[in-house]
Amino acid sequence: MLKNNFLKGTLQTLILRLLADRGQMYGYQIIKHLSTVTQQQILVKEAALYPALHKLEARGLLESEFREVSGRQRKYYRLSEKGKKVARQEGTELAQFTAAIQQLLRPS
Amino acid sequence: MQKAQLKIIHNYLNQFDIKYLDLQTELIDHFASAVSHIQEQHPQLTFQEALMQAHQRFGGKAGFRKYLLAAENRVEKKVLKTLGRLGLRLLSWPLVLKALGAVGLAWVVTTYVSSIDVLLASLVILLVGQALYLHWRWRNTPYFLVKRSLSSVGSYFYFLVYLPLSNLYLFSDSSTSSTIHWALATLLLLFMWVAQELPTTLHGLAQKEYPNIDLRWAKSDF
Repeated sequence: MLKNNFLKGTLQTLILRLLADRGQMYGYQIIKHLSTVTQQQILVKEAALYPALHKLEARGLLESEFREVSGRQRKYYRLSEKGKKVARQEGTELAQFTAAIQQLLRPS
Repeated sequence: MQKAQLKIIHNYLNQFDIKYLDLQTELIDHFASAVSHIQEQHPQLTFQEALMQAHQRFGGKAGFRKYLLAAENRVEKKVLKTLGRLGLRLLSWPLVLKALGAVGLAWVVTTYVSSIDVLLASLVILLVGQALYLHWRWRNTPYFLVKRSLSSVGSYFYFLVYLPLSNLYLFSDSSTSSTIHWALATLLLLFMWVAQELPTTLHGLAQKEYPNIDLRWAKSDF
């Protein structure tokens, strides 16, 4: 499992990219998806995911709606128009950043 | 998941002070999903044991504190933003008439009530009365946003109204004191209007955000 410090600055971008690819998701689904796709390398702290989602929603990057599922209310998130633009932009920046880090870590 | 199990999750969240609709609804689904998932992986676990595992994965007590702290910050920003918007609305038609009315009323009051002590005492009584009324009116609100705004209004009053005006009053001389009294009364009247409107506006916002929520979630006997 990767250290949480690496995730701190990138969690919001990861959420945006994930929603850009998958359309709409709910909180627990995002946690499970990140853990499965990265083979448990990225384990998002559950108490950190929801504040991140709410921050993105407050910034107008996400839209949400409640739907009744199995007798309870489930909140689904999807990207807003503004969120789609930011997801593209931040996704590219994150890719450039990780490429730069790889360059740095490559043995000379 | 059965309703009785959802009730256990609801009561469990209540223990950690997560008892308002806008804080709880999403977490009920989260814990219900987590418990179901854990029980799928480990069928031998009871519901209670699976809930305890989900609790640990959420970060335990510290996780809830983190969640609540983030919620408080988010709500505080929304309250401040709404307070500012309401203040600005007083400059727009037709509410500007209300603002001018407050200015006029404050002028009449400060002209005819010559004693500043009587004026201040009356305004304080009015403010305390309003605070008591607001707490009574919104005592059963299911929204944290509304509940939090009531406690925030007191601190905004202190920082935005009381501190600046008391300093102004302290450093004013006899030639400017009547203007200061007028400004004081005007600001207090306008603040009272904003404080009155704030919970109603926030209640509307919360309802918009949680439009289809079944209000049974908010009741402990659900």
